[in-house]
Amino acid sequence: MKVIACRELRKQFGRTVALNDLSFSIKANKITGLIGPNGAGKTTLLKIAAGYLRETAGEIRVFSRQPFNDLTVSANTVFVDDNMALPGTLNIAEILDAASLFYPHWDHRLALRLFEYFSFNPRALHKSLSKGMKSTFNMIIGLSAHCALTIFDEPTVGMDAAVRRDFYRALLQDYLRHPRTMIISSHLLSEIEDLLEDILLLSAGRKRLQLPVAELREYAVGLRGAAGLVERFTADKEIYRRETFGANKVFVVVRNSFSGAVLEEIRAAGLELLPVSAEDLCVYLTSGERGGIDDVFSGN
Amino acid sequence: MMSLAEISLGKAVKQQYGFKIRAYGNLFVSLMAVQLIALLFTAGGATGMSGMGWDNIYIEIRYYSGTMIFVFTALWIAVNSFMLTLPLFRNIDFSFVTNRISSNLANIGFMITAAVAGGGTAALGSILLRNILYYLTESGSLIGANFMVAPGELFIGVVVGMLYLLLFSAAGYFVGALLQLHRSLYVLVPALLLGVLLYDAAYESALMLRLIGFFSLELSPLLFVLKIAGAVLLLWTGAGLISNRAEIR
Repeated sequence: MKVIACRELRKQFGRTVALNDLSFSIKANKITGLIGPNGAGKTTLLKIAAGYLRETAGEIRVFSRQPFNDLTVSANTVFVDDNMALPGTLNIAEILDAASLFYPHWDHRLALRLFEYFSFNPRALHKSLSKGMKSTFNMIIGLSAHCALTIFDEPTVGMDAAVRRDFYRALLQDYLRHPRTMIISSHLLSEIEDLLEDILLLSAGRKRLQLPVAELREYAVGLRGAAGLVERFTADKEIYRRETFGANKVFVVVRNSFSGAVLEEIRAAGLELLPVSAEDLCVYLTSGERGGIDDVFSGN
Repeated sequence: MMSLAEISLGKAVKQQYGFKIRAYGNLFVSLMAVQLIALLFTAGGATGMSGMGWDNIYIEIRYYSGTMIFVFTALWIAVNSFMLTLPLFRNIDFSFVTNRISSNLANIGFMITAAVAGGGTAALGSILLRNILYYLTESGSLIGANFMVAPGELFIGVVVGMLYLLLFSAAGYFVGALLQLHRSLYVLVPALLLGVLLYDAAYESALMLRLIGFFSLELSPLLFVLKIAGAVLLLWTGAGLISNRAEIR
């Protein structure tokens, strides 16, 4: 079953196009990573899915419903980010109580145990929490809500390394006990890579890729060596990245679709074949085939 | 697959209303404070005073009225109803289970509660004022007319007060919803109101007074209730329609 389905989704804020011609679907009970550089449209997409924003054109369905103004979508979706608005008049223990009354599948035992584990002061006010503590508290709401669609938008903002690790661990543990559809957005793939099954890569409001993580790791390969030789093998391929270094050496990243024989040939020609990590590939795919920041300094 | 929870509009509104009463219950403390301040103003200095004297006799007449308490309460409810429409409070609703309709309906429930509490306490406040004056002034100097309030009159006073408060609340809520449409309205709407007042003053046209008179000069109780109810429903519906397509955050 598809939990989210988009067709030619478009979102505009004034003249700014945040999402453009976006079509994809997300199947139930998977953990999907929504990856992309700043401004790729990740938050906009998630807010449309949560029913906060209205699409400009195209179609989005969450649980086969139009999410904007839909109570069923709201009751089965929790959207967590570091801007979560919570009342300043209730302390955080009271906020947990309030949240427990809203979400039909709320797991209060889990909420209280996490609350205790992260040593929250029940009488603290949400606004007085530090950035990392705020993110941690919001995460507790997101996990305990046990919503069929659980959305974490940049959930680890401000968390220290230990808490981050605990968070990912808690997320996985809870997911295994209560499988549900989760979307975690981040610009740092390496950190959540092990958690994810699928990756949806956005760039400038468009879908760049949607693949299982395992396939993404094998998706591309890097060739390094003499420019002429590298170009001979990559002439008919889409180049994801090209870096020049030394006098006449290049590093080029292309789709890993060489046959075994060609790979042998490449090695025999004295070129290096390098694996491309999922994280690096995402960066290459979203920054175009430009040489990256080095181009700024190379004067051309 | 986790089963989808179905939720009715009624249940969502009930949850949201309960949440608002818990989260914003402190507003009722501010109501008490506002009424107390009004009470002090009124009991400390009379709302009207006139003096006259011949030879060595001097008569001073002081008028006391509970109007100030009511005016303060009306301001309190209008401001707080306005606040409910601010993005901060809208966003809090959307941190939990809601849509725009249930959020508006829960707000309406909250405003009705505030009007009932405000109307009741404002009427009781004017009784308290009488008590304070009874003990503060020298015996015999209180004129009995209007001092004692018959229960029936008090009841009518409470109901009429509540209806007015509901009207102020709905007006505050509507203006708030309207202002959320576009930032420029934050300037335009107050300017328009001021413009009407200035127009009234310059051309002695009393547009404002006529609007107020539409309600306050109505002699038939039934028509009065109908007028208020009609205006309140109109304002709520307007606010609801305006905010029903609003984007959150």
